[in-house]
Amino acid sequence: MEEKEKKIVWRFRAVDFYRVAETESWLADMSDKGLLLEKAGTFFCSFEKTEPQKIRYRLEPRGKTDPSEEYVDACEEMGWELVDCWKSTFLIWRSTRNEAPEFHTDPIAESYAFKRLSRSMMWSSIISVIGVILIILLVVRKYLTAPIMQLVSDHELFSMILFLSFIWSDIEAIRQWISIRRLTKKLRSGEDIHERIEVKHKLNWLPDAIYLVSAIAMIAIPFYGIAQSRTGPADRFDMKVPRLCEIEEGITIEEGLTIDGVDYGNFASTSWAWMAPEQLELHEQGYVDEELWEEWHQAGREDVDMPITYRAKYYRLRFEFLAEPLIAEMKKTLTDELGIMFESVDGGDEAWYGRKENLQHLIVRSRNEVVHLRYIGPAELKDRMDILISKLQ
Amino acid sequence: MARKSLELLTESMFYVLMSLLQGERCGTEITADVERRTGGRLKIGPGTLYTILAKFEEVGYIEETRVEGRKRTYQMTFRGRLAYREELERLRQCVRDAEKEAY
Repeated sequence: MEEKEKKIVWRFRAVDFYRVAETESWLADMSDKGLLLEKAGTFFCSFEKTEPQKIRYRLEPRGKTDPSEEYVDACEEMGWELVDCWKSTFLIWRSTRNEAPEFHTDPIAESYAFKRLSRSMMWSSIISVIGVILIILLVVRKYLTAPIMQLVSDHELFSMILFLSFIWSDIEAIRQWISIRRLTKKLRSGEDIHERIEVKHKLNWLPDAIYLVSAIAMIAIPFYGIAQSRTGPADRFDMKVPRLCEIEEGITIEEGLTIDGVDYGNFASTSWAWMAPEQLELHEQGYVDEELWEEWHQAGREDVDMPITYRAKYYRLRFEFLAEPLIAEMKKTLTDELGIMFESVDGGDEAWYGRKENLQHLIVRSRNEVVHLRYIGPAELKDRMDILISKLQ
Repeated sequence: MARKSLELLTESMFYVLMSLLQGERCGTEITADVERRTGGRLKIGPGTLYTILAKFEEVGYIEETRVEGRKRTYQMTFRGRLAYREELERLRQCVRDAEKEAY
């Protein structure tokens, strides 16, 4: 006889498996509609399409090991079939036989299995709460010192989602532990926890759906960021910042370390962040006075003037209101770390200039665009303001 | 570390121990025996039976004696007999107390 091909359908897991009665009732409701559970996954369950049938499902906390073959055989003999194991936490049993005894006939004995599960969930909740507290301390510290700089960094959205999903997992773990603890208490007082109840599907799936979307976003965002970033010679990029040759006349570009055809002394790169979707960074270096350069090469940095090094960073921010606090953070960081004091200068909507010996910094804003130039060399950076503004406009 | 005894024996647990008084038995034999002894009044579900057996093994009331193919056989330990006798004495006391009261 020809074997009928199984028809499998997938359904979003509408209930939290830690709500045992609700899960059992949902699975029974599905079999009433002719959907027989085949696999229970984290987010989705697969069902075999059959005729509508009356089926009892029972969830049993899984022990440290898989159920013994003898146990599975004995259950089958008594009318209970093992369907699947959900997340190594619950064994899912079902019975199609009306005359089969209830899977658990003694709530106190059943409470032993739930108590073990409750204890292991308590420990994993404690460990994950400690983990999240450590992450919070790390993240909060970063956000307290320079929140906007953090937001415009190319991994900000990823780390934010990761951080929120850690917190979400913790809340879920604690909620699930409380739910299992409550069931254990009910069992210990002799109550039945397997009564068939009406499952309100309305928003039960929403937390899992949010978590699933976050997980996909966490995977997709770094890939999108990587796809948006490029590194190569500066002339291959649309320059939103002045080149070193525009800052320093008569400059001779000096090659830096070259890896895979990229001169890491002279290159540009782009990156992406949700808060700053267009970012460009330019690095260039060189010299003007050849004699001085030779001398520097031979004698070392301490004795003579340094060669000219230049780094420009351009941000186009998603929101204009982020520009001012971003500049304030940049200035504060440079003042705190290098002792550079800034003065307001004319240019763009806002411009700041700071100098310490040879090192000069110029930060300029025009609407939602921010440029930060860092320069070591003889030229006066603030005299090049016109070139910089023309690039922005 | 000393193993902790169970605080209480439920009816199912008591009958599982009673079933093992006569000698070694496997899971399905225990269920059938309990049903026969109680005239079908007490049915032990498979989940309950194997949770009880696992718990009894953990506290040292029973031990596994043989594994034949997929069948495991258990026997009661001295500790198990002690627990059974204590429970039996408690139940006897309950009955004595109840019989003192006229109804």
